[in-house]
Amino acid sequence: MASDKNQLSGNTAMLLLQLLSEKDMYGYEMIETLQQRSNDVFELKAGTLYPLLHGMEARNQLISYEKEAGGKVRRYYRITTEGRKELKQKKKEWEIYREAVAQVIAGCDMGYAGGICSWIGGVGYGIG
Amino acid sequence: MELDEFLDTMSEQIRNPKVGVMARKEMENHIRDQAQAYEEMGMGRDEAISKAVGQMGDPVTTGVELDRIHRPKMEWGLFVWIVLFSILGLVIQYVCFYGLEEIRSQEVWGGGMENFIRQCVYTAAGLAVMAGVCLLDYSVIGKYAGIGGFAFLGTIGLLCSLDILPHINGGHPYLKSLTYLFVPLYGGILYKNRGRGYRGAGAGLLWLWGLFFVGARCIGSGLGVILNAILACLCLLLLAVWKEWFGFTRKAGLGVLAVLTLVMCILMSKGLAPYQLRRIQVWLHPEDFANTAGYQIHTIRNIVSSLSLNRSSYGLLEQRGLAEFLRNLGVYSEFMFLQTAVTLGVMKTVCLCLLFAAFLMYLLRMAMRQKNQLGQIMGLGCTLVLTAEIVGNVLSNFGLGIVSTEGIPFFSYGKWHTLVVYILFGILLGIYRYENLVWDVPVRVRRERGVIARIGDYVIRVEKRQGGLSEIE
Repeated sequence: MASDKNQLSGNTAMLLLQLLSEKDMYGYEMIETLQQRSNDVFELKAGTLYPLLHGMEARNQLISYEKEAGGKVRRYYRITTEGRKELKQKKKEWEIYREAVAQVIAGCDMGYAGGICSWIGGVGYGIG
Repeated sequence: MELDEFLDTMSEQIRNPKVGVMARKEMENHIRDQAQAYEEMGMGRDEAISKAVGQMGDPVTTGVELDRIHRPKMEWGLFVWIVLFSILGLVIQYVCFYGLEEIRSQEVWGGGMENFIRQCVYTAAGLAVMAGVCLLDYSVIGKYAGIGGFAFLGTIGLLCSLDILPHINGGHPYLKSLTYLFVPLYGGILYKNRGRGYRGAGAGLLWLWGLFFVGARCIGSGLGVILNAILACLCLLLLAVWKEWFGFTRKAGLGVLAVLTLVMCILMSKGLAPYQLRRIQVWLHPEDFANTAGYQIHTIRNIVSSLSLNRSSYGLLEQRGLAEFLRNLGVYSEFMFLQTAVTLGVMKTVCLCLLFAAFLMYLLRMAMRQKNQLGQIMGLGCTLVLTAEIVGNVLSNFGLGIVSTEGIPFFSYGKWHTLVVYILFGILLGIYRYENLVWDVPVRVRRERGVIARIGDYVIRVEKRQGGLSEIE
């Protein structure tokens, strides 16, 4: 299942920084790992990935270097201290967002439960 | 869409050819990796590539986006610092020297208003040169650093040896500032020697010898300038060893470098003229030469002890008979900080020194934050040479050092010195401008545990003996 582009784009940087905080990777490797770990939910296009990586490099969050692997010279990306700070910040923001979504969803359930409660209460009041 | 069509369309959107080539290679690798995965799933080669290209997205959007990221960007913060310091430098020179009644009434040598106007022109020309230099891609300097360094030192050495240039006091002092321009070139030379082991580090030391020879023997003047340049280069060499650029371990490298530097210092001292050796002796023990070669430092210390905190000290200096000496130092003699302290007081001069310190910290921080190793070492070279000059001048201005240099950046009179300082700033601006357009060229560093040297097919290795002594016995 491919995810909606808009939904994904805001958090792609965080996901990439997370992957790179574990080990240095090249572009294709990142797409593959992301796809595998998300059970095919995140299918990132290379056209989205590379501008994102280059942008993060320009902001000093990543550095790139060439290294030979499997007979090919590939461009690897490494997270920097600046990148780790950014990842920490993004994770914090994501937690706030996730909790907010959870509260809204839970609030809806509570509203239903509350409705039931008020109905029961009302009946009880009527009986009383 | 075919592979080449995709790559051509994408790279056509990118204006910088270097970025275009890099992005093309990266995308092609990606497509081939993806196609290989499809082939392993049973697809035909052509079909696999075609599908992999289809997965890439729109080549125009990708190319435009990459072009937007990799555009040269001006470091306006640094530019503003430089312009403000240039203006401040001229104002201070006027207020504390050229426009001063004590200087104008005495018709001090070098104190005429025409000199101030000339310095204004040099500063404007320097700013124009800086703007031109910052547009140049500094990686070209790195690419041709070896040839450039050889041509640079060779040309100066040849011009001095052929007696084409005029002699002043037995040397060519007007050329001494040019040696500063060798420092960023030296950064490029070290960068090119990465992975070359002890040969690379040895070549680094030999280049220093070349700089010393051209500076001390051919130019034959301005020991302070040459020492500043050598000191900055030596720091770059240490940094390269520290970062293990040459392929040997940090500990071994620093040890060998310390021994070689000591040997080189001894050899260099043999190459110094008697007056240059005497200057070093005076620098180390000024009190022993108070009435001869140490007279200047001795008098400066007397002036410093007469300084006022917030107002002019000229009156007191006149009473003590020191004003004449100060006037004669003039702006030519790079004692502008002392002139400022005498005219405006110690507090304002300390503020000026702190402003310089903040500026140097800013430059150092920017150089160390460079992602590209070439940019980092070249930027650091420019910063170190400026730092050495400013620190050296502050020390000599307040009687703490004797080996004076060419002048204080922005604050001293001089055509070549002014231009050289602005060229260094131009290189620095260029490094930041092309920060996102230059990538390190990978170098294969063979690093094996315990290997201290390689000679042809042979290696010299230090290994820990397995088992105890008894086992061998």
